[in-house]
Amino acid sequence: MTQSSDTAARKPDPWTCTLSVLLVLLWAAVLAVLLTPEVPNGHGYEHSRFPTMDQGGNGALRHGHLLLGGWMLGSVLIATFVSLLVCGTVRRRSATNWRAATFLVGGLLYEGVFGMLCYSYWDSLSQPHAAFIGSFPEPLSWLLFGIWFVPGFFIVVYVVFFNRWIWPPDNARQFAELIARSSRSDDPL
Amino acid sequence: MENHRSLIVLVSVAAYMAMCIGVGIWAMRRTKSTQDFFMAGRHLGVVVAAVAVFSSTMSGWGFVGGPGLVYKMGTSSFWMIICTPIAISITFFLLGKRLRLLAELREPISLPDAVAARYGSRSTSLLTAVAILLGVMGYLATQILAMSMVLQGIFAEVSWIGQLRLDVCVAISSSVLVFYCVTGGIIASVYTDLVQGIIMVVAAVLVLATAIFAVDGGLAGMSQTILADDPEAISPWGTLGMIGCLSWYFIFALGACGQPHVITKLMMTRRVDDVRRMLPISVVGYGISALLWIGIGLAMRTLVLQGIHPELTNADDAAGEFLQSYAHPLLSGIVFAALLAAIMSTADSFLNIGAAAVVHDIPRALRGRSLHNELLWARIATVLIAAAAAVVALTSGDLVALLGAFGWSTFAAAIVPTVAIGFNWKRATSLACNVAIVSSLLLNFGLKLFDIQLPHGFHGGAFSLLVSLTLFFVVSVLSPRESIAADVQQVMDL
Repeated sequence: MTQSSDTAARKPDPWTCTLSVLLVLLWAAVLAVLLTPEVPNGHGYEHSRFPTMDQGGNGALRHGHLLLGGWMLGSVLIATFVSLLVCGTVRRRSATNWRAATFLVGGLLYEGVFGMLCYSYWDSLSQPHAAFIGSFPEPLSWLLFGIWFVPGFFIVVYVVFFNRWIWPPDNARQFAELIARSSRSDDPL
Repeated sequence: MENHRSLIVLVSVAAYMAMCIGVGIWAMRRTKSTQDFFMAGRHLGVVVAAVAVFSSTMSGWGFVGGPGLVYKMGTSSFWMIICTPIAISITFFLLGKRLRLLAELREPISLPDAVAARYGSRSTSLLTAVAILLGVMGYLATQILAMSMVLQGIFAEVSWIGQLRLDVCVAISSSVLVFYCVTGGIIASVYTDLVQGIIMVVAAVLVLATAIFAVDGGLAGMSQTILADDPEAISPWGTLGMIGCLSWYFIFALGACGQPHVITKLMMTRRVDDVRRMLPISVVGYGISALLWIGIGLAMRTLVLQGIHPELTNADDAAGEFLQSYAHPLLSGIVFAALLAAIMSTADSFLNIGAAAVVHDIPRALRGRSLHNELLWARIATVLIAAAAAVVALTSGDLVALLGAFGWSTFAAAIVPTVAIGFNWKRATSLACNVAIVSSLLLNFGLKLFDIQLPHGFHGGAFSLLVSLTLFFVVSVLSPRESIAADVQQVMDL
């Protein structure tokens, strides 16, 4: 098998830049929350009547000081996921603006829903009676009907723009030519 | 009807197992080479491959452990479910096209084969195979144990059979699994996955409906009861808390593209553009089958809090007790068949990739060539791996749970950098992969073995994934650039 040295320019490629930024953001968010002092039983304790269940206790007490850090961690995670989706698409000069705009809209929608989840939870901590959306308390509804369903946006993008941003016809043609040239008996090792 | 519940369940399970054996015999005639045995000859249709992806992801743990977690921790484990659309999307965006192109170009028969093609490194291929084999042994042992315990419970309810020893149940359940995996290889595995996936989806919808009718006020009634007892249990974070839930979101969303039993299915389709239709089918299929997890878990927590059902002795009994007490006997039969389906659809994939590691990847990495008569050895290895996993399941006590828990996180931390990132990023080096794989094995096993708890319930596997990604990136950037085979480089450019 012909080996060719990677002749790509020495300047950082989009993957290198994206990964370096994401890893710095992830470590910053993770360390910020891990270094925040824990309250006793902050992540659940045995239920007072049913020992096989856990209970969470006072939400304001265990989450009051963590909400901002948690929101930042969740937002960085979402940014990571959406950035990886973008990196999984084909870079074409003519499509860049539309592609970037589409994923930006999806990413902002995702971040917005997560922000609403955090806000409605924070708001619920000070409310004597829980507000419901459908059958569930409002913060849980944001999780079930928001965070669960919003990635559907990217699935639609994948299906609708598959021939533009994932597998364009010219890529298919190049691959067919590559297969035609390739000797399949080559041993990669 | 109630009097015949146990018989109906037994007949349903027997019919399901007979179907698996039938598929094994049918698939045997289509399995003529190692490409067929490990890669289904790259002839899978869209629906078969898509259902195989989601049914391999939803293991028996999801059907038993999932409802148990909701009963115990409230809504915390919802994060493992709601991450699936983004998790499967990341997998398809990063690997759907890339792996399929590489499969056509180099005709690998396993993931370590593809790794060897990408990095041109035997050591990286060997370490990938070893990580896969270690994860497979743990996962497979837990699946066999779960399958046998389910079967033991079913037999115990039938008066003319009674309580059978666990080793007998291991022998019965493993025999069926091994039969169709040995005869039909991955072809039998994916076609049983298709039936298993359909059973899981049907069962989940019916169980959710049953759960809604079992509690006064349906889903709103469940919410009100849990809210009155402990508002945090029905908050987005459950009893685990915000940081623990977000760490689950990270490890389960990003870790999905490192699960070898799932991503190898992306190499088996007929055409590259099949992935376009597979993604929505897989996401919807998983989402529907997860309704069982949510429905039973919330219903059982509510029923116990209301005093309608006695407290469970073990949280993992939630699914079994719910079906026994509230489901129609016919539905119980379908769900127990679905439970075995969920376990077996994951176990058969592990058996197949484990056999590939033993007879193909490791010999190829060590000797530079494959074994003669690889298909025969693959069948023998399938039997031996299942036997070894059964022995581990029966004899190693707590080690089984340790190895099972070790599986997902190890795959995530070892394979996400090496495959999901490295197959897209040309700067990634084989040395970086080796460092990431070794660190993932050491960190995951160390955290589990010494029971090290991170603050705020942060998941150890999530921490391992972040560490291995970081090491992978830093070592790649600092180590000399490596050449990539010209054809592989062209595939990475597409």
